[in-house]
Amino acid sequence: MTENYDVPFDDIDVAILDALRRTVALADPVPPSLVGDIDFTLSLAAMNAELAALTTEAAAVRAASPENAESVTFTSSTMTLMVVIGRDDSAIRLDAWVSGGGITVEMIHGSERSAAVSDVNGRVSWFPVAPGLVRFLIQPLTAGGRPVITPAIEL
Amino acid sequence: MTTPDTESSLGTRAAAAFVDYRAGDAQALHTLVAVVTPVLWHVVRSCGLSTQAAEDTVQTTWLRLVEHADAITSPQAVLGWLCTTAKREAWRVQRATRTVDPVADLEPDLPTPHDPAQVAAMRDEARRLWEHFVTLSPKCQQILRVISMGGAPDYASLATAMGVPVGSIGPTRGRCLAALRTALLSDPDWSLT
Repeated sequence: MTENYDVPFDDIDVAILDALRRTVALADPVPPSLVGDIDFTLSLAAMNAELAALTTEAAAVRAASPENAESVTFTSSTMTLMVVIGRDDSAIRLDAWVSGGGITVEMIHGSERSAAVSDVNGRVSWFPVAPGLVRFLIQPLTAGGRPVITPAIEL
Repeated sequence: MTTPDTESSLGTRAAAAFVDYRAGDAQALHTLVAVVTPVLWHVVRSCGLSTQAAEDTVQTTWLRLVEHADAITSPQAVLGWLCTTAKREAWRVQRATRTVDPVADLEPDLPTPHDPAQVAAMRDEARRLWEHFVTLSPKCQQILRVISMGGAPDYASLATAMGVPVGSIGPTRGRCLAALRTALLSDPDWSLT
């Protein structure tokens, strides 16, 4: 027997969808940290930050272990940020080059933020860095410029 | 400031929060995120993204909203706009990370709970329902999964956002729900609580 489909909803339909909602919530729950992470990202966006594009595909980076993940490059309308992910002993080390010296780059790791200023070669680095998702926030060099925020990459 | 009734439809609560956000109430954006993120999660997961890619994609969807908030002419449209944007972002990620025939991307594999502990945690009723649900076509699973996240007043707008023709689901039952209903009602071990 096949139920008629071209008819209005009835109480059984609504009850089935309610049961399905509960089931889906059990089968594939929303990560508990997701809403907080979004709030944080949006608070950065409220600074009128430009979202940079990830030139290297995120999946390719994730598929690689930190030992062989060579670099990730982000580009925006005003700057380029290349991040090299490496290891010193057992800890993760990040070396990054931004297009210019004297630029403040913040590494955002969960709710923690760690700022560094690029040297004359545009280099900034962080060590040691814990595994997890990180983003980078590049402050504008000139007053009135837009900060740039990158998509998250997983270390 | 509007004070949406928590019993009102998802679309109505989202619209009220969006109106307040555009009026300058920063807290309203948090409310909007809290209300709609579970729906967006299931939109992108039903497109076959991994949990990590899904988290990134939902975050990107919200950034798009902040960028384009002024372009959304009707507050009532914000729920559909978010779902549509999330779906497009998910497809974009799929295309960038998969090397299969692009046509196959239109019917992506759905994530399923492989973790035995996760499955065991399901109540019997839910487990029976899930067993029938996963026998539906991938497209029907995708539609019903997202539709179920709203209440009855939201079915039509959520279905439209998922690319289902207007009138297929909400106000009418539609083929996908009819198929699930048939399977469930013919299963002697399943009953509505």
